[in-house]
Amino acid sequence: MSEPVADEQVTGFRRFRTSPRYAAIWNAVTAYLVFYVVISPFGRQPGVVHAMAALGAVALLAGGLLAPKAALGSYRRFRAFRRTRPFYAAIFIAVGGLILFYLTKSPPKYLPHVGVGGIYGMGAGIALWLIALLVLLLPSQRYVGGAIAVVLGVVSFPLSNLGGFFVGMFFSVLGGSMAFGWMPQKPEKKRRWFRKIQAPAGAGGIETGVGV
Amino acid sequence: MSQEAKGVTRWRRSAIVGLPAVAAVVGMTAAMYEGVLASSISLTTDQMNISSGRIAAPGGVVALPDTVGSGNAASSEVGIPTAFIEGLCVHAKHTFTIGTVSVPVDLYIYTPNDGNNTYATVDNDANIAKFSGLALNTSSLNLPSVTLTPNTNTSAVYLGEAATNNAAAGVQDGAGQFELDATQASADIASLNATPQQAAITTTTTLTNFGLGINKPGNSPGSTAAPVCN
Repeated sequence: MSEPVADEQVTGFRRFRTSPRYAAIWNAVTAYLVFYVVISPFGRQPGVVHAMAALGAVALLAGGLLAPKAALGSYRRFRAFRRTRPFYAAIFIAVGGLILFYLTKSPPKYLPHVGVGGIYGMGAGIALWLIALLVLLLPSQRYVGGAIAVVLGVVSFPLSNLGGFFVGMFFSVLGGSMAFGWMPQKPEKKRRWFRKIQAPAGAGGIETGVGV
Repeated sequence: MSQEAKGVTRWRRSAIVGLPAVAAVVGMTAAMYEGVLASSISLTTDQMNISSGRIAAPGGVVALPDTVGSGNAASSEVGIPTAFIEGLCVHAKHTFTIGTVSVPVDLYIYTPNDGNNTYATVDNDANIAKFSGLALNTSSLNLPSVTLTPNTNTSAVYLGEAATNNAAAGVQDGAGQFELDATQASADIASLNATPQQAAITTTTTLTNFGLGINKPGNSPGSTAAPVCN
């Protein structure tokens, strides 16, 4: 891990990334995307959806520029949340679960015809969403959660629409593997195959981060 | 700049579970292609067409139209406990909506026709999909040719309203239940064309020599005719 850099030595985009303006813009873009996904099921007109999402984003941007400390604080809180847990692994697991669930969303009266195979898609979809939440809220459980997500994804291949036509299975296995391989910090010692390599002095500690 | 905790994904650790998973999927794909492993298809779509060249249903067929008139049934359900289907094609059109962006995806699952007209060899035919527990809910149903054969002299085949209670009552007008009961017999259906009303198909399948794609299938290896596909 590289040496800490003093604030005055940081220039260019790296310095801009720590500024309140960057935080305000990031918050606004994120808000636009979230509004877009949340509003769209209710607003059928694409123009209305874009307008409402844009309105929320502009309001947040203006608020962020007027209150830079608040914008920077919220941005940093979310960044700290994201970096202290397998965030993207949880996202992938949830996407895999959503696809498996969506494809098997069948009228319940048909499910008894095929028994376990018929309801597996729905069950696996819900289970993967719960695992995504587990990995997100309790990062220390990522090994168990990740392994279960991988198993659910693989088993969905014969049991649920060829694993959500491969896509749901792919995201489940990818997310589960990422969660399994995630570490709170870079390890102190690197191991290249079976040969230990000593890290330089002052490098980061071993796995002692949040949630362990 | 202060150092803050930042997690990393160690891909070599991820491979510990990722690689066995990939190997398992490759093995299951090979087994499924050889017809050793069954797959389960359970779909609900906005638009789905199901067609086949020929069906052999050793376990019989049960048809339950909601409304039966002198013309076409308004709504029908078909249940097939076990079926061997030749030249099957399921065309499902899914529309994935992300925000206001809709992404339509055409999916085809098909088994090729083999050109074999002998029903007696249907069980051993490598090109025929084997289904267990096939149920359709259709707005229209076309079964041009149905042959029902009782297994024994005592196992009758019923056709009519509430067939389990009323033998050969015939097609009745008005809303109600029309049942074709051949659960103690075998049935051969020359062709099936159904437009699922709720676009629901739930079944466990063994798809031997099957194809899966997003393009409309053409002639398949080993087939003498193009798959029946709408």
